[in-house]
Amino acid sequence: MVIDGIDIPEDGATADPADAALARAASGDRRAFAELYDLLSARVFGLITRVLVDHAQSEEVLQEVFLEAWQSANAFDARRGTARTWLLTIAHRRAVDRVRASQAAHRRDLTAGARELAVQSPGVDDEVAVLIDGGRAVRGLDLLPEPQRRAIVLAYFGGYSHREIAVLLDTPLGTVKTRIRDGLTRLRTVVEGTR
Amino acid sequence: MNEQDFRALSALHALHALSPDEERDFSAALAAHPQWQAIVDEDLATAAALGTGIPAVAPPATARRSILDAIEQLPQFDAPAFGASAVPAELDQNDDDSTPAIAGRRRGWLALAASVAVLLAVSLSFPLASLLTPQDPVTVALAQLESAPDAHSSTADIVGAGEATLHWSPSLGQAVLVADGLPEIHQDQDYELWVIRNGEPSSLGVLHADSNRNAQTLTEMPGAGEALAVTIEQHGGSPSGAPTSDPILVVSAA
Repeated sequence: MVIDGIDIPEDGATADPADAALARAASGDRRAFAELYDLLSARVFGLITRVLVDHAQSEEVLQEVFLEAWQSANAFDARRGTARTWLLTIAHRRAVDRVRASQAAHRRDLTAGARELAVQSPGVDDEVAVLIDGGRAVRGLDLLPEPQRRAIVLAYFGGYSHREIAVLLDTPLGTVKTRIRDGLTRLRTVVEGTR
Repeated sequence: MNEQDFRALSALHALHALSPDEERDFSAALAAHPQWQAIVDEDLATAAALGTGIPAVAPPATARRSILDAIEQLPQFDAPAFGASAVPAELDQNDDDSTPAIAGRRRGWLALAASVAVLLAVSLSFPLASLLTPQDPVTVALAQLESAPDAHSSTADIVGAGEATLHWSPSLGQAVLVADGLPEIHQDQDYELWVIRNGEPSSLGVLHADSNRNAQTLTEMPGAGEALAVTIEQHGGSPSGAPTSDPILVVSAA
């Protein structure tokens, strides 16, 4: 399987080179950190721009993410997950923090995907399917029941809290929680099934 | 917290959809049940797979240079003391009265919480809709509250500045805090929102304001005898998890 131009064996026997680069960066190896950047920065930037839309802010957040990654590289534990997951988790948290701060300032330019989802009109899902294309996890999204997909897309790509999602979907908080839990569980089986 | 409740929080945590106080519940439960770490790791990996399912976008070449330049001077943190998660360690915040100063501060808060009852509470309709654009969750919530049969509101002064109104509906289970005219703060400060239960403030996170220093946010509905409060804290909120100054606003669902 080829991910980001790197051939990653299907059986997972050989590690993603990003894992090794991050492990070396944790001991102060700046060249390894540059390697990590080259391997994953487009992935990270793709996620940030999807959540934030604004390009200038996305560049600032990209910088925040990699500076945090450098400073806290020692917190990476390869037994608990991949470098890819670790870095994307930081990127998503920072992008969401930024979108929440800036949406308060602007009362609110919704991100494209979230706006279309929030409006319950026919044809919306085609646009979302186009917005969120490719990749096995997103194929998994397509397999989710509509209510679960909506809740997860609003959270992950829209940056909304579950309280906000409950309001936007006019659905009780407990129901939103259940949809997200069930949806993520189902996604996981899809992601694993194609691995 | 049982494992099923924890799994619900873990999924929301992985999508960064928890409020700060729920995030603390999550961290505390994980610290108490380290065997649940595997649940968290799986959920984070699944969420990250969502992030890798969208197209990569190459950042500008200048970004690489400025990041690699910046780390030349940037020290690295030591490894975490125990194999905990990437969640900031805030678990010690509930330690009782770690210093006399904090104990004194807490007494002050108890007194304030007791005085909440005297705050003006009025029920009124919502002249706010025109201020806000559609599809903003706060706007949607205000519109829903407006038509709720059991809508209430409670207004309180902001110290040295404007006033704030809490709108809520028990039947909807929703509450919105609208603060107009917050006091000026420095660039390295933020407003932080708290819920006061039994006299103990618990952070609901940073309250972001617009350029006119007005803020609106969805919030928890304070129960009987509880109140919401706002303090001015350092940028990002009080690192100790407890307020470091007296509130500029206290409002209850009286």
